[in-house]
Amino acid sequence: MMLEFSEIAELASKCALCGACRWVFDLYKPACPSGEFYQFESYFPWGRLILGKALVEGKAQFASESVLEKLYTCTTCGNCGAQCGLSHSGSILDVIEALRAEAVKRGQVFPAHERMLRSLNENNNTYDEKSAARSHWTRNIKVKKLPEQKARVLYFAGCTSALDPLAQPLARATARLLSGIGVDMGVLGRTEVCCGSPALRIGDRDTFFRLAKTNIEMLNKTGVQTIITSCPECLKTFRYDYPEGLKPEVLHISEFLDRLLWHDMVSFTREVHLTATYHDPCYLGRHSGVYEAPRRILSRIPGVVLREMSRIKENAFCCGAGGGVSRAFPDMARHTARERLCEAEATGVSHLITACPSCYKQFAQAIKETRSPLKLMDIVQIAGQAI
Amino acid sequence: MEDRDRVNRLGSEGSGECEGPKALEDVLKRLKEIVGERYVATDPETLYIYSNCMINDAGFLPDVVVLPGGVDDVQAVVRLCNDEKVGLTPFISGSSPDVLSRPRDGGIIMDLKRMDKILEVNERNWYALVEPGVTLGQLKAYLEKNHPGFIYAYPYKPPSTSVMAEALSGGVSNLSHRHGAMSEWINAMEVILPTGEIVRTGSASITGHWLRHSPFSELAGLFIALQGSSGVCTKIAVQLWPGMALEKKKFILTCEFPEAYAIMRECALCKGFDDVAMVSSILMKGALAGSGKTNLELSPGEPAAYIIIVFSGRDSAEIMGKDGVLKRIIRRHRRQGVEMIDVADLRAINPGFASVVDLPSRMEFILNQGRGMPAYLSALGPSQNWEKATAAGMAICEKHGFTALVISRAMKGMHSAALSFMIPLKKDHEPERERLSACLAELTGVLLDLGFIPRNAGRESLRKIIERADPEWINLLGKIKGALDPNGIMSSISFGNPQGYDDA
Repeated sequence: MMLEFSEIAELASKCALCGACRWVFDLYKPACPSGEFYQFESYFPWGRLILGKALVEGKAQFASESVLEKLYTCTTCGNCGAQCGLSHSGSILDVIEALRAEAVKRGQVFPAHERMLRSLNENNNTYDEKSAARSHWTRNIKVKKLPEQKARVLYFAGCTSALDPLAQPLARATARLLSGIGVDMGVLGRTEVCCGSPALRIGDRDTFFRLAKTNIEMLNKTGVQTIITSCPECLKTFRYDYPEGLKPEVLHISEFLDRLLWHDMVSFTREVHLTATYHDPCYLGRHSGVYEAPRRILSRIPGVVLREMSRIKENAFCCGAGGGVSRAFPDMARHTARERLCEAEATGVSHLITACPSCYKQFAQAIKETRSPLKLMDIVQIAGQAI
Repeated sequence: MEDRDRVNRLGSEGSGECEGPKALEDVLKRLKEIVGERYVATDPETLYIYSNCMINDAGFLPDVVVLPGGVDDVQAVVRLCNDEKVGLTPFISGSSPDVLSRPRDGGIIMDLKRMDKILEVNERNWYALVEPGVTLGQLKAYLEKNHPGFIYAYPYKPPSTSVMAEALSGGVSNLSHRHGAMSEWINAMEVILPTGEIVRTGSASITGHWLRHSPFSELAGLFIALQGSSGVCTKIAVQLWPGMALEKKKFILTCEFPEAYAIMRECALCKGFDDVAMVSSILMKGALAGSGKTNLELSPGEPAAYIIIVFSGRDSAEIMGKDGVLKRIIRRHRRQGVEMIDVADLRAINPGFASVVDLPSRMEFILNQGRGMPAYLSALGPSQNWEKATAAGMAICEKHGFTALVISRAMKGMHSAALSFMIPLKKDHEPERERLSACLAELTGVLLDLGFIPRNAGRESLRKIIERADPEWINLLGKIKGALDPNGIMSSISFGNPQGYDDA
């Protein structure tokens, strides 16, 4: 059940204004990307809760760009909820999403998000690309096309991996990896539509439910047993945000590989000599609870030495991409990625590994801009090298 | 008082020298030149959010919020406020639960969180020099990583609380039994006076060392426990303590508060314990009850008090020795007929107790009981009236329809007794707020009758304190405040004003 605007005040009232949401509890390092960037209390989670209550009570108005800025600079990373020890901690993001839904309902949308939503409604993707472009990444790769052909597993690439040139190598690496280990796998290609996560995070619930309905019908028709995605946002949305009705099991590629490794159905035979640190994508870790699978995969690859950053797992700092921030507030998104990159560099490793196309894009840009010595890889790329 | 009366909202008609939109525009322009445009906020949402804080008073609305990046910025903003007679409220590390940032309506809030560096940890002289934005949690993490032999203290406050705020407001912590209130651990400070001069206290006024001693009168008191502020502190050196290799916590559950206090007094006489404190059972039940329970009640026969005794040592022999002393105290009281349970580790009974026992804590056991931070009245007084003050305070809270959570601590041995009442309430519920005002006023009166002086007084309590105070003492404080802050720009109690506040 999604939180309604009218229910916000009750939840927001539970905030003690103690500021625990601003810090990683045991490490006392920053937890909130927007608060760290803007510094005013109005950009920290507790400030947003107070603002939400004020909006419900009519003490603040949606028709103000500065109100929208407070609502939309949240990356929806969820670190506030992990740090807050109070009874409403699990609902902080629900409040943010409900406030955004109300903003959209009242026609208050940033131009960057308006473009995304228009594209979602016209093209079923966030990249303003025609549907045909969605299959371009599969050129030169042999994969079954569902639902015309049948397979046991569907690889759902998601908008970013399918359409963003920076992330397309990850879709190709995932498909090659799955084919390479003999998985009976297919893709939807041009008929794949967005999972709806961007619409839900921005607050356009109508578009989200339309896309969810389309996906549930189409994905059920494929007859696959398992849907694998390399995008944590798609994973979280399919698994936790969709209304009931999606029949296949949905797994992140790291969960799927981990399962195969556990059952000795696959093994890493090639050595990959590198030192690495792993960045937990927010939607894979905090939102979906997948912390150990990527680490187990890395630990099974011969030659890989993993050195952890200080903020990991439920305390991991965001890359800055989520919640529509990278589109509407690129300065903040870049600053956040750079901060995380600094933390990765401090481990002294050669490689930064992640498991999300949006994080990958963020870090690729940050590495380029800062001329960081770190090399970037997704979990599917390193796993592909080891098999 | 004439000058003070002129301090008011920026840009409002008839508000003194800084009048009209032109003046507001000019002040904003100068603020942006000082701290940079991105660190000045005037949007209504930010002002509204800053008007909410954890303390009991609320309802003020600033005109501007600024975030200075360093001492030069602070000095320039203070000078601007003094020149233009604009009210200034320092705000530290987010929402501070203590009455350091006593709000006033209008003027400038100066949020000091960007100044968050730990400037020095001196292992030879046991102190840390920190900026205003350094939090208790931050200092803990830093010491654990870089100076593992040293510790700082933790009060029953969230770890996001400022080290400086706790020190300046005389916080009571888990080391206060040994070392007194946290204001007693201030070695030296750097303060920007309301007129813009930078002064240092302690040995920092003479030498480059941040030690406590000073050849003349110790001036740190001008800036401590003022129920507001008389300057902007930009650096503070606080005393650290050596951490012991081993630490043990023991818990003694008694049915009555007098029995608990008798045991605490005896423990204090031993001089060997790090902490001798007591929390009421209602508070401990809150730790287990989860959220939304505002009217917890004890069942018949349930213990009323949980005594917490903490002791540490360099080796197990020292720990065993102290443990033996405690066991003998417990045996002696049992022989006298006191019913009690002693427990080695409450967390083993229920992990929910960890939030009370392990400091710093997220304070779920208190914060989940009402809606937000409870009303809070903390007082220091003579230990012989501990029992009476506890009973009277609880009765007053009950009379006004509140369940008080009680925390007591023997201070610096047994030089005084600390007694805190936390009252969970629905802050946004107007009838409850009205009942609370009446409750706090009555509670303050009774505590004062018994010699207990609230240290974080709200509006109601302050009025009571000023009514009781020696008029000459009040006059002296007023003169000092007037000399430090001739234009009355800093928010603080107005000692010449029987209403208690500059803006009351």
